[in-house]
Amino acid sequence: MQTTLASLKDIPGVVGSFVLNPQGALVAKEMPAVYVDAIFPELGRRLVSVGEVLEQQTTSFQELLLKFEGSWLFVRRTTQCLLSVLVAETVNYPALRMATNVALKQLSDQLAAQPARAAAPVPAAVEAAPAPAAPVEVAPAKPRRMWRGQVIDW
Amino acid sequence: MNSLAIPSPRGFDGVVQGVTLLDLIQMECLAMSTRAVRVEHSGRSGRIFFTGGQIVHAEVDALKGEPALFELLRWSAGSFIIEDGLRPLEDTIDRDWHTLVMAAAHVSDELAAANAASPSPMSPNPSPQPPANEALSDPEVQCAVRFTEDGSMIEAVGDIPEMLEASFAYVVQLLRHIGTSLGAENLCEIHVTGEQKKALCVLADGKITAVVGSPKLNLPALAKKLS
Repeated sequence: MQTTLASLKDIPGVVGSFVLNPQGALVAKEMPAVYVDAIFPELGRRLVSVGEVLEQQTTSFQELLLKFEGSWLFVRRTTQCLLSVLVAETVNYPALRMATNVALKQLSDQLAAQPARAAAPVPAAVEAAPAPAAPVEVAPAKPRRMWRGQVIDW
Repeated sequence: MNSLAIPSPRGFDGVVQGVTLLDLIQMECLAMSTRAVRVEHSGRSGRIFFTGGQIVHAEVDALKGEPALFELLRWSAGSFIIEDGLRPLEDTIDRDWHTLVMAAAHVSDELAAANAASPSPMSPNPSPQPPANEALSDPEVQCAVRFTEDGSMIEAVGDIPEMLEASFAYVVQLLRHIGTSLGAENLCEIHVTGEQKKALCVLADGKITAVVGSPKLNLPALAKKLS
């Protein structure tokens, strides 16, 4: 996912990019160090709220282009994620759109693959464990730790 | 307040002069009234019903609910009779009175702007004014509203501009916060592309113009005209 986001920097004017899940939680980012992780929970919540307002009152958005003085934020939404790209206003917009088309395709594939991997059983550990006295649900060998919506210790 | 009040067995009769119907509604709501106000103007009459300080029903001619309320608020003058103990047969309005009054204030501003543009007396159903900004006459524009940063509506095209204004007023605030988080200041434009519609919001000179239109709407061209 980092590679996909990094590839967006091939377009001159791209400052950085990040991916949020549909609930607004940060999934991945490729942003300059000045943009610390702490800003993203609020940012994500607000972006999701914007989507909800637009959906209720006007239109469900697929693309959102925010033009600030000197810089733009280009947001593209799929059912799986929100891809946001911070760019200088001098960016070649058609090139940026094309690059985000490719990035969205790759991100969708990567995100679609993730739940399957996370849900995959851990046969060796389960087989090694003693048989339970009563039928219970099959559990992972050890508690899963989540970070930015992803399982990190498997 | 210049309204004339005469005691009557049922309450007070009054002539609305120097006080708007909107003022009267706010007074009834703040007083947590449970009663009706009958409003008369040019041989027409309507009623607004309050229960516990909330507007629960309005009726005029064949209109009921919020359309009736906004129709009554279009009347620039008239008389009122407060009818204590009168309750509606049905509740047709469920929005909080603050929200309704806000929306009504926008209607009132719109009306004032229309009056300023045309010196002729207000008719109950004024003909729609062409938008002052030619860009909003684009055939692909379905609904548009121009308002100030403090929420005063300047111009509107299409249905329910109050809702469009409220939506974009909120969206603009959220996006400014997002911009600040990212070190981007001075939000100028918002381009929204959806499956069924496109929307545009242009911020310039302390005014916000929000437009919703068909997918054929050319957002960059429209933004240039509105900037």
